[in-house]
Amino acid sequence: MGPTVLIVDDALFMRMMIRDILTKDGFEIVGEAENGVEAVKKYAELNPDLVTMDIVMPEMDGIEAVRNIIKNDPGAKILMCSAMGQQPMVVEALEAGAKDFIIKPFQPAKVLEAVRKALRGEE
Amino acid sequence: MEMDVSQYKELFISESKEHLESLNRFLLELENDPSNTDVLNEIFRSAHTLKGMSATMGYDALMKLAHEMENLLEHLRTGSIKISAAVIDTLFMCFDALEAMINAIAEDKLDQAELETVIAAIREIIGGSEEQSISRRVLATDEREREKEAEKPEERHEALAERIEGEHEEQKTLEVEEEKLKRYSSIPGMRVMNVEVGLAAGCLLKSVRVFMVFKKLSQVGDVIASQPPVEELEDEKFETAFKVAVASPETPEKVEKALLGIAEIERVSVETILEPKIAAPSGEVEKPEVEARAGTAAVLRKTQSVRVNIERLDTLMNLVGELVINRTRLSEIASSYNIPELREALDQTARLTSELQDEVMKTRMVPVENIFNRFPRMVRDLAHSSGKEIDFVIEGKEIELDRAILDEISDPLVHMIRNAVDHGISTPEERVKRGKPARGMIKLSAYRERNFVAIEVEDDGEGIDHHEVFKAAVKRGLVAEDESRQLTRDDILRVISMPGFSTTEEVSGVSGRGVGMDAVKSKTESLGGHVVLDTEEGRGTRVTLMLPLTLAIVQALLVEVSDEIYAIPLGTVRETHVTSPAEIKTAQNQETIFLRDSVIPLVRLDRLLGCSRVLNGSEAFPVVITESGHRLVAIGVHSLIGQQEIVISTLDKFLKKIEGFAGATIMGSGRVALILDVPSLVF
Repeated sequence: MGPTVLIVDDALFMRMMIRDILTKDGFEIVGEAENGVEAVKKYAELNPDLVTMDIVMPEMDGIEAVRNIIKNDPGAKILMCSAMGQQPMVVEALEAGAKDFIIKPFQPAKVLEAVRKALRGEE
Repeated sequence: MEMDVSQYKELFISESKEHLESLNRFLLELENDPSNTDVLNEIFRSAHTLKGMSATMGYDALMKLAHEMENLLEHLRTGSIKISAAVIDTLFMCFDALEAMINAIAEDKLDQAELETVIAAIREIIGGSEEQSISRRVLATDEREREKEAEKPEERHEALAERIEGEHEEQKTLEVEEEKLKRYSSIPGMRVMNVEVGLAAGCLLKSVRVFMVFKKLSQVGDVIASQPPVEELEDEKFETAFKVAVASPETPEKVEKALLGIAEIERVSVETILEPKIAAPSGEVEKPEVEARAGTAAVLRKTQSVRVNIERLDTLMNLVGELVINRTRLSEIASSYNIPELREALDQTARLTSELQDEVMKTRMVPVENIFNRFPRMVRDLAHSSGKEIDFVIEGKEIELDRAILDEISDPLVHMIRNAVDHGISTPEERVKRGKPARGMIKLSAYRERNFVAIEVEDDGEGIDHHEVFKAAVKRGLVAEDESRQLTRDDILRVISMPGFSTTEEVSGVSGRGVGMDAVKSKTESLGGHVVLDTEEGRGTRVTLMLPLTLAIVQALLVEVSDEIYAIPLGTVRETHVTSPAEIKTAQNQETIFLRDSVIPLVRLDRLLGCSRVLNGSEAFPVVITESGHRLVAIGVHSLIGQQEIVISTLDKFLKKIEGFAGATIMGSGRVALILDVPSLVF
C-alpha cells in the first residue's frame, strides 16, 4: 500500500475529488474529516503520512487545525487546499507549519506533484 | 491534464443544495441580527465552498458569482462595509441567482442567470474600483500584524525585505553590495550563492510561492537580496522566474534540493558567487531528522453515511412490498392446510419482513425541515412587498416524512402560506384598527397524529367570511342559492377548492383565498391524505394537511360488503362497533348512531356503493368508526375480516377519477381489494 493520507474538507464533493485523484495514484486514504476538530482527532488516531487540509471549515478552521497538529507532531506533513484569493490565509497556514498548498480547482497533476514533494520532505 | 468531472455532478448538486439551504437560513438570521459574526462566517463559508466546488466542476458563471459574493462577505467580515438593508437584499439576490444557476445545472441547462445584474449590485456596494485597493490594504494589514506577532522576525520575508531594501532600490540586476559580501564572506563556512528560481507556467498565488522560497532559504541561511525586489515579487510583478542572493553554509546542491521540494517550483539553478573561507563539514547545520513515525497499522475506517439514489430506495420499497404480499400468501396457505411448523416459521418471517420494511421506510424518511427552511424567506419577501409585518413561526421541523411525499407537498405549502400572507394577515394599520397587534403571526407546524403527519399553516388574520364565500360561489354558479344558508367549514373548503372559484380574481375580499386551494386539495388527496380547514371570522384560519407517513405500505382494516373485500386504511379507523337497528336514529334524512354521548352519522357502504346485496333493516351489523379531520363517520359493513398490511397500488388513469377509492391492493389469495378513501367517500 502507498503512503497514507487523511483528507480534511467540509465539502464531501471536495473530499471525493481528492480521494479519487490520490487513490488512482496508489495512495491509501485512511480517513476523512469535515472540520478542524475532527481533523486533529483523526490525525492523532490514524497518524497518516500526509494530510490535505481545507482552510475554511466549521468548528475549527484549517489553520487552527494545522497549529494543533503541528504542536503534537512537529513532523506532520500537511498540504493546504486553498481557493483563489486566500493568500494571507495560505501564508498563515505555512507559517503555522503546513508544508505546501494546492489550489482549487484541483488539477490532478499539480495535486500529485505537491503531495509527492511534501512527502519527500527535506532530506 | 484535464479530468472528467461529470461523475461528480450528482454529488456536486446535492451538496450545493445543502449549502443553499444553510445560506437561506443564515441570511434570514443575519437580517434579524446583523451583529452575529458566527452567522456571517457560516454564510461566508457556504459561498466559499460553492466557489471552490463550481470552479472544480468548471461552472465558471457560478464560480464568478460565488466569488463576488465572497468578496462582499469579506468586506462585511472585516467591517469595511456595514450590514444594511441594501446589503441584505443584495445577498438575497445572490442567493436567488445561485439557486437558479444550480437548478439550471441540475436540469442540464446553461448555468447563466442574470449574472451581470447581480454582480453589478455587489460591485455597487463594494464601490467598484475601490475594491482592489481595500482588499490589498486588508491583506497588507494582516501581513503586518502577523509580522508583529512573529516570534522569529529574521525568518520573515518582509523583515528581510526591509533589511535589504536599500540595496536594490535603483538596481535592475541582482547585485550584492561589496560591503555586505565582505561581511558574509568573513563568516567561516559561509557561502554566498545566486539562486535562480523558475515557477511552473500558470502557477497560481505566485506571491505565496515566493514566500515559501524565502522561508526555505531563511531556514538554511540569510537572504541578502532579490531581483526583482521583494515588493514586486509580493505583488507578483514578474513572469515565472526570479533571483535571490543567499548566504548559507549549505552546498548549492542542498539549496537546490530544498527549493525543489516546494510544489510548482520547476527549475532551480544555484551558482556560487563567493566560496566559503573554510568549508564547513557538511551536515553540521543539518536539522535533526524527524524520527520515523509509527506505522499506520491500526487504521480505523468508519463509514458514516452513504448517498443513495432515491430510485434505488423506491425499488427496494417495491421489493419489500412484493415480499409482504408473498408472506401474506404463505400465511394463508399455512392456515388453510393447518401446518403448525410452517406457521411458526412464517411468524418469524413476518417479524423480519416488518423490521425490514420499517428500516427501508426509515431510510426514505427526511425531516420536513428540508422544505420548511425555504419558507421564512418567502414570507419575508411577501411581507416586505405587501407592507405587512409578520412573525413566521416554525414548529416540529424535525418530524419526518417519506421523501416522495415531502417533494409533492412543497407546492401546496407555497399556496397555503401565500394565501395566509396575502389574504389572512392584513396591514398593520387595519390590524390595529381591529384591536389586534400590528404584527401578524403565521405558524407552520408539523406533528404526528397516529399514522398521519399533519402539516399545518395557521394565521391570526381575518379568517374567511362565510357569506362572502357563499355569495361568490353563487355568483359563479358553483352552488345554488338555496343549497345551504349555513355553511360548515367543510363546505367552505369545498367551495374554495372548486377550480372555478380559485381562478377568479379580486371579486371580493375573500376571492384570493381560493388561489390554488383546489391544487392543494387534489394533491393532498392523491397522496392518500386529506385537507382540514378551520376558520373563524376575525380570528384566523388554519389549514391542515393530513398526510400518510408513507405511500407504499399501510396497515388496513379489511371489511366485507356483499362478498367484496374492501380495505380501510387503519390511520382513519378509530374503532369498530356492532350496531343494532334499534340504535340507529334518523335526523334530517341522515342516519346516525349514538355512541358514548356523541352522535355519529352513519353511512352504509352497501347502499352507498350500490351493491347487489343490501342488509335488511332488522339485522345487526358492524360499523367502522372513522375519523378524518376531527370528524367522525360510522361506516356500516357486512362483516369485519381483520387487520392486515397492504401494499397500495394506485389506480390507473381510467379509474382514478372515481371518488372514494385511494387505490387497490392484491391480497395473499390473489384477489384484488379496493382501498377506500374515507374522506372523499363520505364527506
